[in-house]
Amino acid sequence: MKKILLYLNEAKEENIELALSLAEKFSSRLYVLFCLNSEEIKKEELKDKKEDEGWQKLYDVEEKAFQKEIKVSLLFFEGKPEILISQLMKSYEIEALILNPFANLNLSEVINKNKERIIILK
Amino acid sequence: MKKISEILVKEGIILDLKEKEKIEAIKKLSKKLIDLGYITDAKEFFSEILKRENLESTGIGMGIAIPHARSKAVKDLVIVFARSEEGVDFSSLDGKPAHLIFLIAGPENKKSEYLLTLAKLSKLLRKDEVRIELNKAKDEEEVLAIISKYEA
Repeated sequence: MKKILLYLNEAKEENIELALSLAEKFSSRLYVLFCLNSEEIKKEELKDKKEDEGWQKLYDVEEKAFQKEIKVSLLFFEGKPEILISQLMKSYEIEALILNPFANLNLSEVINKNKERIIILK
Repeated sequence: MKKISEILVKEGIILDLKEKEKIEAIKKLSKKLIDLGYITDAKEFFSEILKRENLESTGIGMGIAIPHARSKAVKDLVIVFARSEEGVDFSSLDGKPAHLIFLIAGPENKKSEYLLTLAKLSKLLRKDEVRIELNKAKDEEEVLAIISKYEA
């Protein structure tokens, strides 16, 4: 398992720890995605708050990955998470996705579009 | 928590970076920090910043790179900046060279402030107008004024 994607929106600490420990175990590159969900950020002040939250979470994970000497790539995008996840999984040939099953996205769409990939819901 | 415009030092701004390679660009910016007295051990700091570059791309896309390191060799949280007309390959995921390079150095004991600064700067630089204005800035004062205007 050379590439893992962690969907950081609504991720719990255990999602992050799992992603880090798997990346460490398999010497994988960890892609960490924070998505500005276009459905959620219609108000400017909410977008601003979400952007702050997103970058803070991303750099927090990056620091943890760095301490464990894990290769990491931070991804910050605006759009629909279901579409972004599938596009990234395909374009970077990512083998596994870790996300909170209660994340604010259409989970069945994510599963259906990524049938050949490992999806870890925790 | 200090503002980015307060942490970015005027004397640490290079508007015509000639270096074309990532390592050379980072060396040039690190040299600024050493000359300005922010680094107590150049070897230690450089080793720390290169370690991170080997593990990840600090090129965040859109022509921006934010190399960074936290080290006991750093006296205080500081940002230096270089602009490159030609661009420097920071292996950004979007494949574009970096024209705006901000190097952040933080001391070991300022982890939260360092991470927040990284987050604030990344957010600020996603704004098209900030990047456009920084690419056009005529001098160091203008760079600081742009940052100050948009982070307000």
